[in-house]
Amino acid sequence: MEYLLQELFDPLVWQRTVGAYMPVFIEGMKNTLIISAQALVLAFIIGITSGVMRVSRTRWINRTATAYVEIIRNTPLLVQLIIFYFGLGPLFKNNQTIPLVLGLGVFTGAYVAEIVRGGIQSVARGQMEASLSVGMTYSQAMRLIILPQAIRRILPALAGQFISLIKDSSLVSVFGYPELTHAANRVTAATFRALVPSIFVAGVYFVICYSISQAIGLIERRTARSGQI
Amino acid sequence: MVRFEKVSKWFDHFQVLKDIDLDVPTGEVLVVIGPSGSGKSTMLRTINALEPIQQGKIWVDDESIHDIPENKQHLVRRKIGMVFQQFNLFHNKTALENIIISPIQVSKMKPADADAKGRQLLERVGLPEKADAYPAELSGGQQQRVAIARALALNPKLMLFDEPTSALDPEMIKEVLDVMKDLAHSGMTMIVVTHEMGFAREVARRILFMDEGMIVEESTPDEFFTNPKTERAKSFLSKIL
Repeated sequence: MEYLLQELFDPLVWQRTVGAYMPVFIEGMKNTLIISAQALVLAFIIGITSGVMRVSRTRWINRTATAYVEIIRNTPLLVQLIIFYFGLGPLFKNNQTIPLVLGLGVFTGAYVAEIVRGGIQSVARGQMEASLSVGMTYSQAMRLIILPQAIRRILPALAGQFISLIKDSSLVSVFGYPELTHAANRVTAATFRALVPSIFVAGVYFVICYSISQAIGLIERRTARSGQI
Repeated sequence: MVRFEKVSKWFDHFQVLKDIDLDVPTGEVLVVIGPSGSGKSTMLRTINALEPIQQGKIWVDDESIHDIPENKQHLVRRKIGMVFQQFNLFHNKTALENIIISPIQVSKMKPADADAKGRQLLERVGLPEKADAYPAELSGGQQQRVAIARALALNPKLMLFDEPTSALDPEMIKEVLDVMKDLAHSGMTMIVVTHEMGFAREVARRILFMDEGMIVEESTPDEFFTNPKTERAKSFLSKIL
């Protein structure tokens, strides 16, 4: 215990493990944000599509989306990433990024789908009936009336999912993708010190995620004041 | 305009509509009254296929709407305007946008033309200054008048009203009924489910009294209110008048 405290407050350790490797950490942070943003876009596309499919009355559409959501939510992310990485890797000429982005996007998409489904179901049934009564097709009603209202309501939940995604992206370090956690691993391997670089990296994750959640809270309060639900 | 042929509908094992036969000619204002749970709203909602039926046929403008596949029913619905008890204005659209969204999206009207038409309709329901207001900024009566304008936006041949004043504060009922009266006098075919007996008496060409999923009595307003034929209609009227 004493040893831990000593190391934690030793400026020299910080200098040698964090200060000296700052470019590696910055590169890692950049890559964490990039891979998370890419996966987020993919997760949104997949999530909104499967969320809409989940409320479909056509059985096979509904069941396909349900199967996707259940499979993803009931298997570990790391195992999914391994499958994507080694399963799809060869397809992309061993491009490392694409299978990992796909893996993270498909994983987060399942959670986004459930949020979207909840959002759609929270929009009053009368909105759909009114849309149909003015001659819209089901898909026009969904696109023009139901989804815009649903998405406005679920924005906070989606932001939460984005925060989870940033944290989950640390798992791609396992495959040597040079993101933030991987940066800590590299420094550990080079300096034989794990504690300080890991604590530093945890701090960086915290700052990123906490800022996002605060920013969303602010936006939420502002839109709540304008009174539009 | 509308014809029911032996229409029956069930919610699970409960039969809500029992062998309904009905003929509504063009230009008629038909008012449907009856105790709650009598199936009158459900009947109205089967006309534009918001509710499916299990037996019989419903003809709207010579098309049997329930025999049309679901992905084509919107073509028939375009000829039918509907006004709901809870208004159901699109919360994410302004009053004007509520009215013009279907002309633009559904009948591909030019936005400028739709805009002009939307403003004209707002004028007609007495709310020209509310074009840019969101539903949440309007009173119940104003929302319902916008909803009527929205229902008129595609020049429907038939208007359905599902208890349009039941969710309104008393002082707002008149403004909505006035718009409906204007519409009736313009020759619109209307089917109105309502508890507003004054409106029924004044505007209806014919009254339909429903109970337990059946049409119990059918007559002119004068006859119905002064001399109801059936015991059930008599007891209903004695409770509400």
